Amino acid sequence: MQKMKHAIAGALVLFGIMSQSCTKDFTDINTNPNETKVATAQALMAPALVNTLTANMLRNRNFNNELMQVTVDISESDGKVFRYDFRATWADYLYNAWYSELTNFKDMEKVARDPKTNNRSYVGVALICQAWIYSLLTDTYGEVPYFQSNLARDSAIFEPRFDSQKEIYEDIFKKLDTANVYLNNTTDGINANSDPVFNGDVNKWRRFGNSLYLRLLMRLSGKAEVSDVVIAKFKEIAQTKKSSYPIIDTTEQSAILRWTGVGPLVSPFLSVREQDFRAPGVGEFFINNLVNWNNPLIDVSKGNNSVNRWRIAGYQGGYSGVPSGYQMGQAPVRKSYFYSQTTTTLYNLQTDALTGQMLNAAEVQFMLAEAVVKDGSPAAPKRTT
Amino acid sequence: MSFVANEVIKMPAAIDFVKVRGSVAGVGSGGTTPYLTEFTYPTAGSLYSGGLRNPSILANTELRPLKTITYEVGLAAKMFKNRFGFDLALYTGNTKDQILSRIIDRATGWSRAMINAGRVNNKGIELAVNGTPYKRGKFAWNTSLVYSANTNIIKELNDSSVVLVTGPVGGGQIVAKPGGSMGAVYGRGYQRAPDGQIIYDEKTGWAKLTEEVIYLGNTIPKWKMGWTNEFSYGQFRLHLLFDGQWGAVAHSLTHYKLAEQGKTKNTLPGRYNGIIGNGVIQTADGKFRPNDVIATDIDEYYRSHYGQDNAEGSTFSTDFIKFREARLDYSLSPRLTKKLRMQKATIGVYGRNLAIWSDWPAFDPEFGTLSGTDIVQGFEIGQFPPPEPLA
Repeated sequence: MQKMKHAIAGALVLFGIMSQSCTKDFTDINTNPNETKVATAQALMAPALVNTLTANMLRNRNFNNELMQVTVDISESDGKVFRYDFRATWADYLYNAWYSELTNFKDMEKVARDPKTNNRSYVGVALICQAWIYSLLTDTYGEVPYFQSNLARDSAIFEPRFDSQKEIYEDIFKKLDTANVYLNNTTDGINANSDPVFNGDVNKWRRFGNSLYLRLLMRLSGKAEVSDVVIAKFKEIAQTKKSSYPIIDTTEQSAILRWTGVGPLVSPFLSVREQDFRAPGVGEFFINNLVNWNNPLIDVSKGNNSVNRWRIAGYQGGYSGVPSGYQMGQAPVRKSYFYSQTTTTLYNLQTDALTGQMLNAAEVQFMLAEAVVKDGSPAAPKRTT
Repeated sequence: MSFVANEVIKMPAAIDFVKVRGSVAGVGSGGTTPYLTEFTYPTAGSLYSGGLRNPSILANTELRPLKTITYEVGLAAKMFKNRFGFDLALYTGNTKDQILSRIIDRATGWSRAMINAGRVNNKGIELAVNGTPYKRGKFAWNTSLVYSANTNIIKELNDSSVVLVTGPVGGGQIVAKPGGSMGAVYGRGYQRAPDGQIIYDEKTGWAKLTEEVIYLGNTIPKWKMGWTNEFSYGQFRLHLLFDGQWGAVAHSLTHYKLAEQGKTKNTLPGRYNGIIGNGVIQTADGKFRPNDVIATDIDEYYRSHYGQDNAEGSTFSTDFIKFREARLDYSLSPRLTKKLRMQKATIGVYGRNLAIWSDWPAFDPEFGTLSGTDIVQGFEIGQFPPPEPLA
């Protein structure tokens, strides 16, 4: 009896020691009930596209337009972009935005390659988007992390290596070739609602990928060490293997994220205050050239309701700009400017649905024309409608 | 472990109680934010039907709880029939594996990553003194003083520098470096001559700013103090509390924004006639001469001081003395309360945050969480005035 009591007591003590574990239920407790561990390709697609275009467009307006003398943000203060005087703080905005979205596009590819959720179309679309963003990155910043980028989670790489532009471009071309194969004759559909660019039209994505290919080949065509190869490839796409490389032929095939105003598809320009949107004057260099060329984009008869297509306000019966980089102390008066959303309610670039440009039919025709001029390539350019 | 000395050793009659103590404590803890060890996709916003995106903070499946080991020694004594007493504590503690979200290169795919940061040492002193300097008849004056000081040093870190917080403007950021403190603020500031004077531009007369970030100070106060006084006379009781802190700085967004818009008094000088900034000008041969250039564009002049590129210009000391609390009570006499079938009843007036003496330009130099081992806020962003309840 005494022995048995000892045995029971011993067992209880042992049980007490063993069940007293600090890590008990840790896995359960640390599982977030509100967020999902897996994301489908379609769930990742629309937000990543919208965020990329948002970054591109905002920086286009407040930085690129100033550098390119499209607009002049008239001010005498230090650090004005139109004087090419700006701080390093301008530098990282697009770098940060683009790499963040690359994570989403890479996850999209990963989940679409997973045998359980395999979808060749999403793989192709994700590859094209990656190629597009990487090309923007390397064209803007030169050597950037490529092969080791976006691997903090999967490979714990926190200081990715920077790769040379040559290697980056070569791999981008591989991605675009793969995408062209994946999107050829695929029966895998993509969700129209999660595709704000082509509404789920896989064939148009394929055309965008190949047109992007042309853009990047054209860009490299002047580099002596690769020009033979890229010119040959350009000819292949534009001419000899046309049928296996469909490109953007018509304006309705243009890669444009359409800001319909529905749901999340609200133009990022609407996040700019109206008075700020109107504030920069149009640059003299820009508007005078448009005037001299009789450019239809500023011809009111080709616009809407006496507003030209680029929604630029006239000045004293015509168009007039201010000189970019004017002398300090001689601040000019703003003349022509871009209309904002309430000055011309329907016709302004703030609410315009077509400002989310990625690659349009006109650019493709320009590239073909350039090829003809440079090389005598017989892929005859044509007018777009 | 403690040792009550007056029970063992014979002490002078004036001393009532002496205690020496020492302790070693190890505490492990996590944070208050859950799910930092798991990769998940948050929603991309309600406008997307089912849209998801990657989070900006990268989870860490290997995250360990932080561990603090503290050694403390203390001495407490009471004397003169409990009219005077003090309690002194000295401590040093090492916190290992602090859980922090550090800012990482975006090319990694994320903007922040959860990490366990090396080892941080906190040492300090806490002293409490209390006494009854005056007591006669119905009148008594009790007073007590609490003083604490802390130094925070990063002993080890898994990188040469880790950015913990970025501020809103001027490149302001809190950076942890080995040998530094968890509260070190950096940001762009003035270019200065070797003797510390601000360098002005020889043409415009505006202050010249650094391109890189410089050290601006520490957001963790060196010491804090509180002083309580209580006067009682019969059934009346008056309670007054003052407290203060010294030795920390913080960046004020409120000041930057208001000064930039010319709404603060420190932007008045020179508004109509221009101003010569107090400092020097660097001449072509690298020497310095006193500034003699009149800045006529006064808007830009003050922008160079307090504008969005200058974090130093809007970084201020958070030293303060506050009249924290006042309270006047009257206790009803026991006879009356007994009639009302109550044990005790007190009527009083009470007020908090009655006055602040500080150089801080915004409402209150105390904002965010200022705690020794945790990330301090250091950046005031559009704060509201503190509540001043009166009851």
